[in-house]
Amino acid sequence: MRRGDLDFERLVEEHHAPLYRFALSLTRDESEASDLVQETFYIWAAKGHQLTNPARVKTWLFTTLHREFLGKRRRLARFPHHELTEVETELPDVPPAPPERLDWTVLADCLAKVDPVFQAPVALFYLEDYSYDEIATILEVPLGTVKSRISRGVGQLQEMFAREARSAEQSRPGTL
Amino acid sequence: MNSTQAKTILLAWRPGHGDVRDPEVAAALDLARHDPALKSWLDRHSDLQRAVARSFQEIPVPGDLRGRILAGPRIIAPIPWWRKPGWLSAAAVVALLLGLAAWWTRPPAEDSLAVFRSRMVGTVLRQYTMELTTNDLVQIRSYLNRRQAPADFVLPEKLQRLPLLGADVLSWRGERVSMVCLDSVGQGTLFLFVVSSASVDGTMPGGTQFTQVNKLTTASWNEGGRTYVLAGSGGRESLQTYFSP
Repeated sequence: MRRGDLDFERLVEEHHAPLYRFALSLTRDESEASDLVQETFYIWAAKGHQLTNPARVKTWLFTTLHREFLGKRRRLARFPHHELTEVETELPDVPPAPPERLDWTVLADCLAKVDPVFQAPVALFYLEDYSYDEIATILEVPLGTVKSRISRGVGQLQEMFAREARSAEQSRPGTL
Repeated sequence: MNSTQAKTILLAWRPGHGDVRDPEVAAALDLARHDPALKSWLDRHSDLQRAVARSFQEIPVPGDLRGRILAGPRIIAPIPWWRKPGWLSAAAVVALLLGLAAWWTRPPAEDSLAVFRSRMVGTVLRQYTMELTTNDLVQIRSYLNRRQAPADFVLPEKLQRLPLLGADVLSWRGERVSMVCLDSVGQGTLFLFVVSSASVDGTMPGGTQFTQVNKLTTASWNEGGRTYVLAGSGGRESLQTYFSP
């Protein structure tokens, strides 16, 4: 086995799980998420040698995966329609009480209802120990934009949780 | 800073994370220490943040994913340059110098306007984003101005009547290019590219030049030191209507 093969195996071992979680947060489809992760590593195999700073491998992989995801989405809708008015977030006065265990499927349903442009920053915000600067680098957007997108995305997510909680409360027997 | 502003900032705060070094976050946390209602909101919010983070981090990963990646198409993993033997690095430097020499001595582009048009059309056909999505021209000019891209563009009268969709900034030979998207109402999105004329070497005959580039029709013209390229999928006749008196 060549040295390059060993390096590649180590890279896959170290990063495939966090990359998959990020991909699933974006796609919410296990098969599509797996494909994205595989494509990301194949791109690394072809172009990774162009990276001059070995400390930036992880960031490079996340950026590449995100670019691939955006590319696929654009190919599905070449001229996407963009909403003209921004979605306003109505923050609940009191954040909903966290459940003892928040199942990923519930979280994925709520995340799907968050404005698509906020989903990637929110996922990176929760998934990895990245700073705002690092998230901005991965998503290739300015720092201020990242902070604003995280804030608004988390706000929308909380709104979804609050709705879920209200709906669960109303469907409980004995309540009006 | 009031309580609502503090809440907005703290939405993007993770308990126990270095975000606290951010001055805005620090100020919002300080306010929470003196505002009982905000403090109560923050406690609840922090609990929720931890629960959400835990759920994200516990997403199950398919057990066979690693194997599938390694068993995929035969990968020729290149050795990173920092691990290559010195003589290979030296060869790379020589090749780079030769490449640069060829670039410096290259003949001038015959028609850089055609290349510019092709590059811009290729960008929107392949992939594009709108950093700013708005129908407000003032916001678009302000955004382009902040990004040091041409913001003083002048639109033909009929184009001025179309709803705006948003804008982004592209790059062309080191120059910023403004991309403004308009809704042609029934004919898809129109893309207007504006760049300094100094960066486009080719000469353009007077008036507006219509050219088919890949799947899009383009109209190009010069005005006030700016080169404009308008691209759309509605065909030449559709594009010409925006320039007829």
